[in-house]
Amino acid sequence: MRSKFVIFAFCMLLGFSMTGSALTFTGALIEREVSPGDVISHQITLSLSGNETSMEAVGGVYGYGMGLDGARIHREDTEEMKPYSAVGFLKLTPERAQVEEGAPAVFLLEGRVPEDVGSGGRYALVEIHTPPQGEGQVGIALATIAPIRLTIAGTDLVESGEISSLNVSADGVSVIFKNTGNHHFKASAEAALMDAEDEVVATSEAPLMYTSLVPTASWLFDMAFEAEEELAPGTYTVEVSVIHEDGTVLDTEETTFEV
Amino acid sequence: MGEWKSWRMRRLCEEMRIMADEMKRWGGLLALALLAFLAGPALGDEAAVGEGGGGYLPLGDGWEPSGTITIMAPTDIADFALVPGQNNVEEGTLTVTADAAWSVSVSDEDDETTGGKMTEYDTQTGNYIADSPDQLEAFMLVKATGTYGSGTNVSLEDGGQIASSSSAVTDEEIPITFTQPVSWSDDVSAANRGYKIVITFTGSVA
Repeated sequence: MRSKFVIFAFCMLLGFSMTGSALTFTGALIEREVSPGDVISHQITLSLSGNETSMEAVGGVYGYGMGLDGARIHREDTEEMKPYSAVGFLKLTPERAQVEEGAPAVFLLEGRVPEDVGSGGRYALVEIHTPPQGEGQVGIALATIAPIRLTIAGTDLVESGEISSLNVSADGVSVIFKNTGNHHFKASAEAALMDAEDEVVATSEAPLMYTSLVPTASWLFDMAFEAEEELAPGTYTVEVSVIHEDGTVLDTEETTFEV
Repeated sequence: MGEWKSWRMRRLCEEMRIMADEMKRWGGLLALALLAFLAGPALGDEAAVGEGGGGYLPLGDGWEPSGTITIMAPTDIADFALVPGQNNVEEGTLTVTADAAWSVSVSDEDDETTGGKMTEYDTQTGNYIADSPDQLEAFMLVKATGTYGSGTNVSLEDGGQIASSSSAVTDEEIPITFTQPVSWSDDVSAANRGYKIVITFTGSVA
């Protein structure tokens, strides 16, 4: 009994010591409507728990980049993205802050929306990162990227896009869709595989984007076909539609391939 | 039968006494550990910008905080056995709690020295070799599996997303696999030298 209890206690302590540190980012999403002249003031709080008791966090405001998989990537705004950027009128203070267990660090994002801001959406990313934990061969660091998506109230919001690339095979279809509008939105995709007689032999769907696609960014929809039977030799057509979350069809493309 | 019951009772009492002794010895420590575990993420009352102290600044302009994500990274890997001629694999767990749709990406933020490759360092100081350090030929690969993992190896050459979800999660444990291919042409480390890298896990609410 004694030995069992000692082993249990040891395992409990080992369990605590083997867990890494956890960081909690609060206020890590800013999505709202603003008007020219509005003052923006928003806080992002970082708290720490786990092995580490103290660390320095470093933050900054960056351009809103997106990978084809929806990953937010902090980078300098491209020329194409600059008209939709909020980086120029936002500032994060402080740039460095100490976070301790039980004593969170607070970053403040501030700015004033320019009077001549224009229409549509304005975007930026706040990145806050911390130093590597541990001294192993593979060190681990934690960070967050907080998306900032501002909608300019009372302006024309253009939510449009086009299929910029379409690759098909008997197994599936890859579609790259680009936001050509001035405002962010979510979309899903559908594909139908048809034979030479226009009979649908397989369909596939890609779910609604888990995050919004900002202007100028592109998204990759991968859809697999699961036909009931192996495709017979012949010519096949694939029709793809990208659909706004409100149900509007944003673009449709079709292409053919041979089996 | 009466003797047996009496023996069982004496045995039970003895075990309870031992339990009580052990609790005296370990109980305080366990309670302390449990308290630290539970109190860790708690917020305090108020704080100045950039300082510790806890809580939210009373901004009073209607900008309520939204979007909370907690990420607990895999522990660092102290001894990654790098065997030539094979893909060397280590495993870990990433834990995510988020109140909305979320994603996690991996990257190597050190473009100047490592750039996605394990790089020669001094095992005594922990510092990278300053002058032309050796690097393993292949980029490190990171993969997340389970319900929310993409199941695809992401090269740290560019980094990328490894897991995502369109809904909130609580204490979701995501298996992580680190793969480092090592070829026979990679240089064997000299004495007191080794290869290392730092991987950044970036969490984001949608």
